[in-house]
Amino acid sequence: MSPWRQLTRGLRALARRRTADQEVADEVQDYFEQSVAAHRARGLSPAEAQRAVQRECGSPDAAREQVRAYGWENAVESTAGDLRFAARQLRRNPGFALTSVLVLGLGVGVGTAMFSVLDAVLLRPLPYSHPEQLASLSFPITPGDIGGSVSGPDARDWQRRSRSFSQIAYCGPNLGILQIGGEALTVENDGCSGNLFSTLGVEPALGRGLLPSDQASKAKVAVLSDALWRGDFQGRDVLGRTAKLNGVDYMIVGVMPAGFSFPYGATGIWTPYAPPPGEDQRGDLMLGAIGRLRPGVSPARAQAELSAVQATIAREHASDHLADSAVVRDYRDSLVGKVRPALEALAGAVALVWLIACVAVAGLLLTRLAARRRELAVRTALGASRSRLARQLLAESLLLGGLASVAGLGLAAAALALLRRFLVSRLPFGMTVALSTPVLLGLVGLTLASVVLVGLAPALLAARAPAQEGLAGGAATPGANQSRLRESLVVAEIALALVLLASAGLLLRTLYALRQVPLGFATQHLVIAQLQFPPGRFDHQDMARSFDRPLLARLDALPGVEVATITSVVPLERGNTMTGSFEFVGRSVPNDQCPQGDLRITGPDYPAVFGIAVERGRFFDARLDTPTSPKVMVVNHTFAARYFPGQNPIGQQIAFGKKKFATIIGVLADAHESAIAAPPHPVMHFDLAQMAPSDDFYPLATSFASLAVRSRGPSAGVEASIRAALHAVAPDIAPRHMVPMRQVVADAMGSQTLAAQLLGMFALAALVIAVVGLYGLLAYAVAQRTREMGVRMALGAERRDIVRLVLGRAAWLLGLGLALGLAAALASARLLAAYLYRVPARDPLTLVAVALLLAAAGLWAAYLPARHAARVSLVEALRAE
Amino acid sequence: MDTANTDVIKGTLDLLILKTLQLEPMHGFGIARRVEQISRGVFKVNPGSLLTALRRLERAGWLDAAWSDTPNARRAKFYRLTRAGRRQLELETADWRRRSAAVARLLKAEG
Repeated sequence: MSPWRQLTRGLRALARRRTADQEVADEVQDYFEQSVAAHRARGLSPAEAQRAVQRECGSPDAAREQVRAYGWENAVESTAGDLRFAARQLRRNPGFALTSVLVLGLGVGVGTAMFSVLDAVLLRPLPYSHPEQLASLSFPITPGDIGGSVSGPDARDWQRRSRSFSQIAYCGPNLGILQIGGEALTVENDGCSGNLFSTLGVEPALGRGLLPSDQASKAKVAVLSDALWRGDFQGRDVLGRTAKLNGVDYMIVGVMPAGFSFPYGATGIWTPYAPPPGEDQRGDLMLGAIGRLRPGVSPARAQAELSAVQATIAREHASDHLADSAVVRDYRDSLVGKVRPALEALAGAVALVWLIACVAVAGLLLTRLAARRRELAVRTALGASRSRLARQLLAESLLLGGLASVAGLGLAAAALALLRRFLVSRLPFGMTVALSTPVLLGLVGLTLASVVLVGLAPALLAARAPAQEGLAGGAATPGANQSRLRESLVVAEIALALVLLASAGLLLRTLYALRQVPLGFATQHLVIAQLQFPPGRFDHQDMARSFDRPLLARLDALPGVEVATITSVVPLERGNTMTGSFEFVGRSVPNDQCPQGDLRITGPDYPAVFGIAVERGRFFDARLDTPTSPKVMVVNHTFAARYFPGQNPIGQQIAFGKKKFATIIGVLADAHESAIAAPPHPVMHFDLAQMAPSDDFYPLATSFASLAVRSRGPSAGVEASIRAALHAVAPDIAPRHMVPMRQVVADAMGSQTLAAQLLGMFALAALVIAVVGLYGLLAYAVAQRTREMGVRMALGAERRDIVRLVLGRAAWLLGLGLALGLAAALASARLLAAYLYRVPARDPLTLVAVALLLAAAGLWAAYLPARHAARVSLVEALRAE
Repeated sequence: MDTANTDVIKGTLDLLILKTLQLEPMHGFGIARRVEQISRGVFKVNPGSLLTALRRLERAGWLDAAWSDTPNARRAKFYRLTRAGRRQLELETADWRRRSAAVARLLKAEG
């Protein structure tokens, strides 16, 4: 066989159809002429020769058709013809086409977005060799514990004593500061055991990985991620060069392949685990452990074995109070276990939306088919084969599906942008969620499935319907079962739409309420830069004098900057919150009432930068408060009201441990610093300028902080100025993030915003689907009952009665759907309660409003077919038979 | 039944065409006439089937086709065996011999 010839000849025939047809015709004609000539040569008369040829060879037309029908190009051509015909049909009916494409596009788009998330999170293999053998090792997680961490001695004991694992590696994820050229850059710097890469089974793309000998000899070597190498090292030849990491020179020995990441994001640098002296004790639970199970060993068996090992270890080191068991979990499960149930529930909901979208469109197609009965019957009578009619109807569904998948692709991209933000904050490492090849294949698959689901019933119906019935125009009433099924589906669609609309409505009201909360601080023209300090950077020099003061002085001097400050935690910033407990000097407090406050270490000008009023006393002042002057603190209104009710807090003293105390010198107005939806916590500010290296809070002040800069106008050039000032004062310190304060506030509403957007999208989809479903059902019923309407009118029914007849049915279905939906919304209200703020989960106003909205939309959908029914002229209706 | 079955046995048409074209290039009607003559009228060829088969064999790369003049000054589409076609003819001939010999042995045994 020659597939090449098949292809080229077929294509040539397609491209020049007329020439190809003519050639066949010529050849057949030639054959018949020669045949006649041969008979004549044997002495027959022309007429006799003609008859003989006809007897032997049949008709030339039949032969021509037979030859022409050969070749794959004919199938292409008839399909193309079907599609052209379908396109004409759809163009003639733009309302139907648009609605179907929209509804199917909603189903396909939402489904595709969901599939791409499932693909990234649950299906795509992790970038390690035999990832199914990898397991995370940890101690049992007690409630309230972040969990998952072990210590170096534990991991090494497990490696030595356990039989279930071929290797056990560990890794301490951290942030580090990398200096390239003059730039400082915050990177993920993971200190890992020398066997990490061999445990994961991944070879470096360049150079070598880390080796156990590197860890043993405390070698200063580093392996780069592909992203770091290509991005910040610009793909240069780096092997053997040194990189300054946290102020120390490391030799780069390798580069990992693209796509590799462990344990978190893809831009990392791996160095041998080298804890500071004395920090590798059994109590120091700071490492993540990962093991490779021996072939055939299940996580459960490994857990039983490892627990026995750990029980022995706990007995041997009884003074350390270790856990006496261990937990072994499949590695992927340990990463995504928390989001899996939510994702699966979401996937279920999305599948449901897709399914009812298909059902609604199938309903529309059936309605249209009813209107086209006569046309189809005529074509059958004229000789069109039933399979051909069915093919044509399927071509129509295919065309609808194709258009819907284009619409769906746009929708999926939009939905993914939302979901990505949701996942980034919930997944432990950068699983990339994007429109990839498997996802696009998924889209095609989903579209085809939709086409079959939507088009099959009408196509089968068309293929089965006898021609006489269609010609007679008799409205073959659909079986009672079929219409009951369609009615229940419509009721379900309405109920589902109501639940989703109610949820979306509650969340919108929550967002509105959150926006109305007076924050207590100003966000305008305010930029926050989170700073990351290299470990030990300020151990031997006074941070306030060498860094904070010069930096703030430089920033304040800039013409675009109004005022700047440094604080350990900015309002509404997540993470990094420190709570401190304390005692009152000269006042004993009952034990059960342990006083606490959120701890801040703050520079001067904080009230000015954040626009928070000083209610009493004063804030820190660089001239009065120095490292040598008495320790001072400033509290907020809530602190003063809770711990000094009815007293003047100024001058009161608070003790932290023995002999260490501070005097309250001022009270700030309250602001929503910990959460928008929660009342303010008690807050204590300590003065950054008073932090000497000997101070208890000094390590806190020197590990992280945020720079807050208020500019004079829109803060366009401020970020560059901050970078420049930082670079001039301390080139080795990099800002981790720079965000407008508004963004910090918006992020604090993040989960509500996302939930509102997602549910809003679903609710809109459900609303459209329910309306279309109701419309399709009623329009179909009206088309089927045209004669009945005619008879009724002939017997004296008014148009009003006809409209009432159709609307009555609609009202009944709507009422049932709304009642079921309300019941479901009330029952499921609890699920949403955690997301709501100042809105009761069973808020009657929201429920009534969305029910009215749905009822109005439903009645509008019902009014169109009702009006159509009423406009049927008497003559037309009766002649339809 | 007194009318012998003269339809070309299914699956042998390709072999007959290839065999006929082994000697010289020929047009469709020529092939049909040659098949009928040589088989003494046992095989009758229907033009629709024959021309479709020619088209199929051409697509398969076993025949080449070109329009040219016949001896009596008509234009006709002539088919010529390609090298792949010759190989195919050998294959099909051998195959046919094996099968017909098997059938013959079977008939003799049933005797």
